[in-house]
Amino acid sequence: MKNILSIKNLSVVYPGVRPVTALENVNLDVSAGEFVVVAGVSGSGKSTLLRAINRLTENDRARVTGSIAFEGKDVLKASRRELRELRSYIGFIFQEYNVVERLPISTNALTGTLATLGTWRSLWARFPKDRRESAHRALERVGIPLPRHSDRAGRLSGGQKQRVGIARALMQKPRLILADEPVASLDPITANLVMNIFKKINEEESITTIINLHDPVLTFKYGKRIVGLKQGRIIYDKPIAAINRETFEEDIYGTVDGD
Amino acid sequence: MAPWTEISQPRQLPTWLKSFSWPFTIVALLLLYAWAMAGVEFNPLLIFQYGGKFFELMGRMWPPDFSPLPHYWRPLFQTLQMAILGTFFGTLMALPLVVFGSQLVVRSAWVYWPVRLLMNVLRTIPDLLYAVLFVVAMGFGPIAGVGALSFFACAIIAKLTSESADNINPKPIEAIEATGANKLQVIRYAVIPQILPAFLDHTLYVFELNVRIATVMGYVGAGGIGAQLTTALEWRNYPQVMAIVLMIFATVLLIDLIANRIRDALVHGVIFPRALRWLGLGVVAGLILWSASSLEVNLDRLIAGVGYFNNLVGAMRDPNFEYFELAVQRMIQSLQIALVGTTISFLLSVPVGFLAARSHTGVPIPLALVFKQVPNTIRAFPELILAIFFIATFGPGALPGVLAIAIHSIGMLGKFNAEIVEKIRKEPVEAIQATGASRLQVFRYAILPQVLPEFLALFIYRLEINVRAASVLGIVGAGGIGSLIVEAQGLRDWGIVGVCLMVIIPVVMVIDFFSARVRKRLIEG
Ligand SMILES: Nc1ncnc2c1ncn2[C@@H]1O[C@H](COP(=O)(O)OP(=O)(O)OP(=O)(O)O)[C@@H](O)[C@H]1O
Ligand SMILES: [Mg+2]
Repeated sequence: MKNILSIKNLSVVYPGVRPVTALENVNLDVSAGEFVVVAGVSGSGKSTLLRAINRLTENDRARVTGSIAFEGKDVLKASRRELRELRSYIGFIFQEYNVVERLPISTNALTGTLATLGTWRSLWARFPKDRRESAHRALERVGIPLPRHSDRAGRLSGGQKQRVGIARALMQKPRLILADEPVASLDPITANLVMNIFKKINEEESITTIINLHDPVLTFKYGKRIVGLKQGRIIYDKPIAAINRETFEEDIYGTVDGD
Repeated sequence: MAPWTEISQPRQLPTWLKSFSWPFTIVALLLLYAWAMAGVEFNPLLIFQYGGKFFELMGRMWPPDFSPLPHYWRPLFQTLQMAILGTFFGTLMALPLVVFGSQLVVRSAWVYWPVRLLMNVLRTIPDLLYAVLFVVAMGFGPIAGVGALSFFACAIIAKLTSESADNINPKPIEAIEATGANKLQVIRYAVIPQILPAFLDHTLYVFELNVRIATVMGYVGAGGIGAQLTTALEWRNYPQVMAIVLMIFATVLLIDLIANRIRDALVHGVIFPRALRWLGLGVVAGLILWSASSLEVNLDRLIAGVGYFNNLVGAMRDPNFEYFELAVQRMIQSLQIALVGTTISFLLSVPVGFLAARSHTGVPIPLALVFKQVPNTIRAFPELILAIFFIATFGPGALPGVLAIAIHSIGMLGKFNAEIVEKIRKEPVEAIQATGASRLQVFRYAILPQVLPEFLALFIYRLEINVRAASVLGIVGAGGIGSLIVEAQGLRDWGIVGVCLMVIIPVVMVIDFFSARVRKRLIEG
């Protein structure tokens, strides 16, 4: 099958008095429909990898070299306009949920469709009726009941905010989902509920999904292919069938020193 | 499933009312502004027409004539001395109010509610009105200025410090109580250490305000450089006017600079070394003694002051109700001046706020630093001086008052708007960017929802302040109820002043009350 995402020689350097090389010569091919978990300790470059794919690294003035082909088009060479279009095909989910707290839950979900809404309509928040209806469906699908949809997003708990974040991504009708530590701030039970949502989306609509996780238990439980990052390099890349449960933690995270 | 029922449902408007409420709000706002703009005779054409005249006036002021400078030093020092003593006495007077108005100290509602009411009433009376009252009671001269500034300072320090006291952390208090300490010990070890920085911060802030007010008090005969300014204006000696204005401007900027340094250090919890603390205390004590001796403030005069105060209250005990209707009409005009002036200022300050903010808005930092100075510079021109300039351009009336408020308020609004923009969280911004939205859409959906409620809360707060300002601008001829106060002063009919107070105090109190409630709702969402 053809690769939906093809990353070649990707390096990312954060400038500063002492520049930080967050990624070095990363190569990664992902084919359509895959469910990839990127694992690694804190600071290994997981966030940088996902953020580079839709160029959010620009916000940190990072210097990105190499190539990232999404559906055959090089993200790094895209113009502003092309970038916006590419981004609209990629649903991004953040660790801190990143909902706009003062907007209603439904509007938060609807922001997923901004890229295809005219400027004038979007200024007055006039979303077409069919979009509003599909926002309600997306929210109910991730487990937020209809009566809550007009509440402000700021009133929600963490797990509920993350569901709104997923609904927003779903509203984009994404061809690729990138989720950066989506459950790191949640309790174990809620974390599993949210991970199951990702799993179902991937299985039912075969949307390609890449998720960063730092928890080895969740990584092993949900990953169908596990990519290990260490100090900005890929040191591990195997389908779940080929993984040895006994050694995989040590292979990715290294030996745990101390007690 | 998630426990949805745990979170309370907010009160919601019925849908039909909701769809109706938007057009209704817009129409209501349009009518309100049409009414207010008619009331202050606001006419943009007029501004353009006379704009040239304003610059012509400025031209006649140039170059400033500093030749009478030797005669200006003394009144300038007198201005500072009035501000120093006013702040000092105000602080002394505020202390008992703060202590007895605090629920931490006094458990009985019979004590603290009356004290709080007194605090609120004192705060409704605008700065220059205090000056007029004290000139009536004590005669012309800087002593009247000191009296007025003391009351004004007392009102603000008491109010702000009480608010800080209400918000202090109760945990240390419990901890000290748990050790078996008595009430005085609890206050000494758990309350005062928590309030002191805020108290000092408010005192310095009030000193900044007092310096500004002291520079114009001479206009009503309460001493200081304002008297020289008034004379120069009367003689239409514009180069001298400019010289005095520049001196006032430089003084205010210098005081602001020093006070801000200290306030920054206080807010950031800098611990001053012991020697420095004693030195600071010595300098402050020295300044107070210097001011008291050169203004000839002594115990006899203070005691006499109490007697004057009696006279004053006696004079106004008999309000002249014939003027009640006129007072209400002029008060309404003051409200209109405040509303239109604050709105114009707000519209000008929003771009200033975005340009001066160092944050995710993408303004280059050197440019932001330049724009940061815009509000600070504007704030150094007291609105009364601006009003005097605009009156010289447009003639007496409400319009100069509107413009003075519109310009002066950019100082505070621009500064705080920039701080609001700097507090924007970048996470929602990135989320909207990641959906492929355009810059405008990111602004509309991620930035605007974060800043708008705070902008509006600030607008309402400034409106509250400007209602006070607008009710005294009339003293220099800029419309509103202040004009009636000057007329009363001319007629020596203190009953009219009594009626004016009867109108101003309740109106300002009601506005303060609603402003506080609306702001709380906006910020808490
Ligand atoms: N905005 C930035 N500016 C400078 N350095 C950065 C920035 N963001 C990340 N880095 C650095 O880049 C490296 C990789 O960071 P990254 O956030 O990608 O790691 P991560 O694997 O996502 O870690 P975590 O699990 O803590 O989120 C780290 O050394 C980090 O300090
Ligand atoms: Mg990360």
